[in-house]
Amino acid sequence: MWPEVWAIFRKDMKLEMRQSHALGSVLLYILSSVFVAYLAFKRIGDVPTWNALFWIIVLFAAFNAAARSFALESSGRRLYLYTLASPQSVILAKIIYNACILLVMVSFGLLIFSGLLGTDVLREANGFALMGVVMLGALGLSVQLSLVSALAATADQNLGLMAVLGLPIILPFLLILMRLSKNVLDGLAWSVNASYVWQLIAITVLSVALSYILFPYLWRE
Amino acid sequence: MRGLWWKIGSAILVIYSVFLGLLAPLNPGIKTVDPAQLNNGGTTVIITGYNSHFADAAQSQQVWLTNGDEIFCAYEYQVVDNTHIRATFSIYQDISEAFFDLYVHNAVDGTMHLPDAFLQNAMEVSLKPDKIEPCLTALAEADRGFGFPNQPILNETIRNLLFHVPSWFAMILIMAVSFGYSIVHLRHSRLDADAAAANAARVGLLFAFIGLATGMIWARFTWGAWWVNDRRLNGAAVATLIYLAYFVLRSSVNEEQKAARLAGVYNIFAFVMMLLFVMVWPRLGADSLHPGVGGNPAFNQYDLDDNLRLVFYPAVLGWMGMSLWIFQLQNRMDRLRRIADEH
Repeated sequence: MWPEVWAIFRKDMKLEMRQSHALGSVLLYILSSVFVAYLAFKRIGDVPTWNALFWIIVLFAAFNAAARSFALESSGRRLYLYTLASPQSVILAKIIYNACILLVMVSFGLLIFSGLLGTDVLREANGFALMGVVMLGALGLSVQLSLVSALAATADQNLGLMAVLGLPIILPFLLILMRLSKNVLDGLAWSVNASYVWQLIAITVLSVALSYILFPYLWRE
Repeated sequence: MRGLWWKIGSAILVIYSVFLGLLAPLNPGIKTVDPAQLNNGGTTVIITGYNSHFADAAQSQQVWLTNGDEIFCAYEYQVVDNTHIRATFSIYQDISEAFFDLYVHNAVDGTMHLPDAFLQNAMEVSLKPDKIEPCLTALAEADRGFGFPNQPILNETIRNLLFHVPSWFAMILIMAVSFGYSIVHLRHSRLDADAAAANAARVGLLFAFIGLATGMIWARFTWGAWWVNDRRLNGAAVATLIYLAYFVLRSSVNEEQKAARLAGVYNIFAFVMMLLFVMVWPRLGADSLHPGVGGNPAFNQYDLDDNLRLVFYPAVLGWMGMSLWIFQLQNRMDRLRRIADEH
């Protein structure tokens, strides 16, 4: 199964590289929304505002990025993939692929966001902890959005339906993530944050399990 | 006749809980005190009771305050009418806590208790009563018939417990039914199971709206706002949103088989996330006003007395049965409508 996952993942990555405008468009989306935020706020010295704005921008960019992951497959290619691989490997490969894209995206977002809107709020933060939060967030968002994206793609609808389906489902994860990230920005110790980290990991694992079980039913057309 | 007993049973339970819940009187209690601060020295206050019988039981009337282990008897008091007492307390400065608890006792009403009734005011008043005698401080329940507990702040709204909480119980139950039917549909590709899941979600949504509405009314009268930013409340709102999204998904796909499969997948995913959001997440935080959350005591810890229990448990059972019955009717109606459409 893992060679299959790896092969599909490589295929997706190759496609991504070939159509470099695709990843570029997501990064550009982040860049423009951060720029809009910059024009509106200039500088944000307030941790809660900085934190909330950052994750909201990441959230919408993540929706955009994840929406493409299944919409890119034409129905012919999907049928071809269906004959070759098991649905479980397809969804795992998509999750890994989405996680990679989102990781690049969030890191890029963090870079330009702090560049444009000020690094004042990062003074208290532990760099490794912040990286950890960003990775955890990218991973969790990509897992939950992969299944939602598969749903929306099967329904032949795009971003609109995805936002309606995805936002309420992703809220528990997002709220815990935002709380954790705010704590990290405030420089709170690991002992305070540990429970949030475990909750995030638990939701992510649960979502992987649910995607693994449920995706075959979507795939079968 | 078979299969009918639980419907009749739950209808009787709901009617019983509605009637008793709305008609049973509230136990006597202390509503307000004015002023709510006591000066050092002597202060005269008006104590307002609710459903109380101060005048009827004037002979056995006792009024006292407690602060830590200390007891302060009323220096003098005068019963105005059944719901008003004018009392004068004399307190001195070296007391352990800032707040005084008020007790009023008489033979008819039993002991009424208002915790944290008075704040100690640092202001010194020259009047220094010389008469400080120990008084009787009997704590006793009077034999006064069936009534609901009279809690400060909650007061009459405690009846809402019998409508608000059962509606959420019913909603979770019926959503679990919907979840079950979705699993059946995905495993055996049975379209009737999918229709049942949708109908169950529809009924669940009805109970969610009832829960939200009763909760909002309750919040208005106890917390002072229709909506407060609270984990439990936001969780409930998001759960409602999830099921609204479920119906958007159903109606956005025209192909019946495909819509059913998509809806089934989303329903299973959504139900698990909803349980996380409604049942688990609110308990993790320490910042909530809602009972049963974040260190706040739930009703069953001390507020739910035996009289309330006697109505509350039947109400929960009755509402759950009622929700299943409504679901059954809705499902049957829907099936007939689909058969009619085919012909």
